[in-house]
Amino acid sequence: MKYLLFIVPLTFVLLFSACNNDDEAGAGKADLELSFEPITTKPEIGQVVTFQIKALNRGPLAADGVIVENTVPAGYSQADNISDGGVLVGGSTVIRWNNISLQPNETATLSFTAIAGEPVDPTLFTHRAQVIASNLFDPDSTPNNLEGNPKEDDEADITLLPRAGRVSLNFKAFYGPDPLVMFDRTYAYEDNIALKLQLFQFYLSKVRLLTADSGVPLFDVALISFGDVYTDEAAGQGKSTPSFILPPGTYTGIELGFGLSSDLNATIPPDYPLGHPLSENYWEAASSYIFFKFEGNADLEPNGEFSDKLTFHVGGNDNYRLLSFDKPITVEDEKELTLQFNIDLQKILVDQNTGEYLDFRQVMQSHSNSSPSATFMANHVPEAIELE
Amino acid sequence: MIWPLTHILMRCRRHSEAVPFHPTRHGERRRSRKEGGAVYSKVAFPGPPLPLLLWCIAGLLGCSGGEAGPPPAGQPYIMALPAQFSQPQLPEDNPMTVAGVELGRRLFYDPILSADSSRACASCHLPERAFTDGKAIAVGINERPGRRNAQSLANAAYQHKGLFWDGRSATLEEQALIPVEDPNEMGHDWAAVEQSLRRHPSYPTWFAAAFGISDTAQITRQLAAKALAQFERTLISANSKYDRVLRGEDTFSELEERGRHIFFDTSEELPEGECGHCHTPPLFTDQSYMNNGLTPAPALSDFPDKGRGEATGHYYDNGRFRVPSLRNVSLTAPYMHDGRFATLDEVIGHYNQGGHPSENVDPKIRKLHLSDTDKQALRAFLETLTDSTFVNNPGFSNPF
Repeated sequence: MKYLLFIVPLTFVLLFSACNNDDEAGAGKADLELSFEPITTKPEIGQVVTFQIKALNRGPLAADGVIVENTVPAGYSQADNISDGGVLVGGSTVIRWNNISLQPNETATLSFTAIAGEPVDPTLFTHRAQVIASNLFDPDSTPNNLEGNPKEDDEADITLLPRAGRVSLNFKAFYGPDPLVMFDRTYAYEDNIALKLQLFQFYLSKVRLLTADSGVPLFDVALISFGDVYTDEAAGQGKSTPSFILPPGTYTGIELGFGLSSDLNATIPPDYPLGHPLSENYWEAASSYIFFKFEGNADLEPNGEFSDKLTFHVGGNDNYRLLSFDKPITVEDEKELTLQFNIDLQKILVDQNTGEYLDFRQVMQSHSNSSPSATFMANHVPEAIELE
Repeated sequence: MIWPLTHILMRCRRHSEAVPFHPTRHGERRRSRKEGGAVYSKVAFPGPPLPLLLWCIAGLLGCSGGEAGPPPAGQPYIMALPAQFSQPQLPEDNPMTVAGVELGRRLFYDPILSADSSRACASCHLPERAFTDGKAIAVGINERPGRRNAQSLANAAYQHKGLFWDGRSATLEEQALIPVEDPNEMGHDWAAVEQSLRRHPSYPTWFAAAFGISDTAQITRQLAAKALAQFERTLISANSKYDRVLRGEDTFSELEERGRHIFFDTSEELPEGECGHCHTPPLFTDQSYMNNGLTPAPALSDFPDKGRGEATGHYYDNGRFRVPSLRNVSLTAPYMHDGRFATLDEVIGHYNQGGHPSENVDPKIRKLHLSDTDKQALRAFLETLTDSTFVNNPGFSNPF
């Protein structure tokens, strides 16, 4: 997933500030303190953030050989534009300024930039700065003791989480007005046929929230399966995708692919680790993933035996459907939004306008990219999915 | 279908620890020449890793009646991963080492794990039978019959949807703990096994090499299970005739090719065998649990062995069992969870009949209308899944 890169710098101020503990600083000493003074608390994801550090020695003596380090958290990347000869150390995760000289009450200004990443783990956005060394004794701080010590005034930290919300998709499956439940429910079909289901699953791909002129990717692929929905209660809960991070804002709608886009469908399971949605459901013979499956039993007689077996597996680039739903979607900072979709299997099997339907007396299985039944079902997918 | 050449060659991991996956977003291509410090190279097909081979050879040459000591501690086990397989999920807390794998092999073949020192893991998982035992139902100490058929361990590293016929263990490490204390298998208890291992003249040295422990008191069932799991993860089978054909090194006979079409439903002229839906290549299992119509059951509570339902508690999982891999299937008779079918012909006959009805029989189980020639062809194709390099791999054999 990619985000817009904001290049307008924000400024944060890290101060060695003059505080009111002068009495503690005596002869042969230099009291150094650190503090962050952020100008903003919420950068955007992808924004280049400028960190400006103003250093002040509270005295009473001049301090030489002062070394300051700032640990760049994993949530920020590409630390750059480091002022005053500062260098990256520690695998580019620590910025170090060596040999700073500070006269009493002198302020030094240090700065660098870093790019705010996605707040997948909020604990990874805390900058930690400290004095590593000084030629003079600090009456109330010990240099280079950040780990495992109570915070001292030559240390400072700040957590700057980018603005972000989380979005997931939940799908509830229906057959007409009824919840779609495996095994436990019987559904009346056309021509006096009854159905019981065992599996309904499908891939979603290239899901993105739309903006006025473009869109922001949400995720590449997910597999939604109702194969273990055995009760009305489980059907009522639906099946959810993981939640994904997005910049806050109001979007104009959402776009999703039913099935797999051609680029994803050109991959093969060994391209993915076991457990990934695309490590399975692949047809070697057809060079395609199976975009959706519908399996169950029909009672064609009808005699209540449900002995007629239905297995429909559909894949192939021609059966991919890119669907767009126009509806204002507001993603708020630090909040999770679930977009509720409903999918109606009956509308995939029966044309709601013409009454044309998949005739199970004629065809009970299709494992195909191009059979008429595969095309029929794929063509009716757009009518079968709605965004609440 | 002919696989692209780039996916036919094997890949070999040349890095120390157990496959360090680096989570990426769904859909990103995972195969790369260099990924998070793990470097891949391609080899013809997986076999014993070079360090292990060298260690085995050194042991043989230097052997003058005594046994070779453990390999050097900490030496990583280089796992040769078939390129046509998806990358397995390997636990970060059990990185594979040469010493760990070799310790696992010794424990696998050592009856020290059983109460009367009569049964080892290998008693029910013999390499020449693709790590099955040829019995309908596994037999434990004192000739006690078990509950189910012993499953093949081929490609155990790739089993990520549960182990055992009912999937009750999530990992090989969890699985390895169970047979020792099953009264119908090894009938022992782990506390006693731990004492035996700690007092053993050589195992403490092996555990030290495998896991860096410094005290025999640190030998635990968990470390023994980790070692067993490491060895089991090396049991990779990917060099059958089927694989060689895909690599362009061999060709199917006419009968085998006919069977292949029936297996994968890829011919308009031939009946569809429906096999490939669940026995999906390259592992020849989709790792799902299904009722394949073995037992008629008016109600799903009627199954004498509830299978997956025992593990999940779901009524509709009753009578479902793990879809086994068909790799080396001609070596793993008898078949099914209860070993009811002695031959592949009986298995094919069962599927051709469409199975017995019950509420959750998979819809893909249906009458197939195979002719005798079709059945022969299907069996011929299944026999191409035999991997003789796997069953004869010296790295998998009894070290004692």
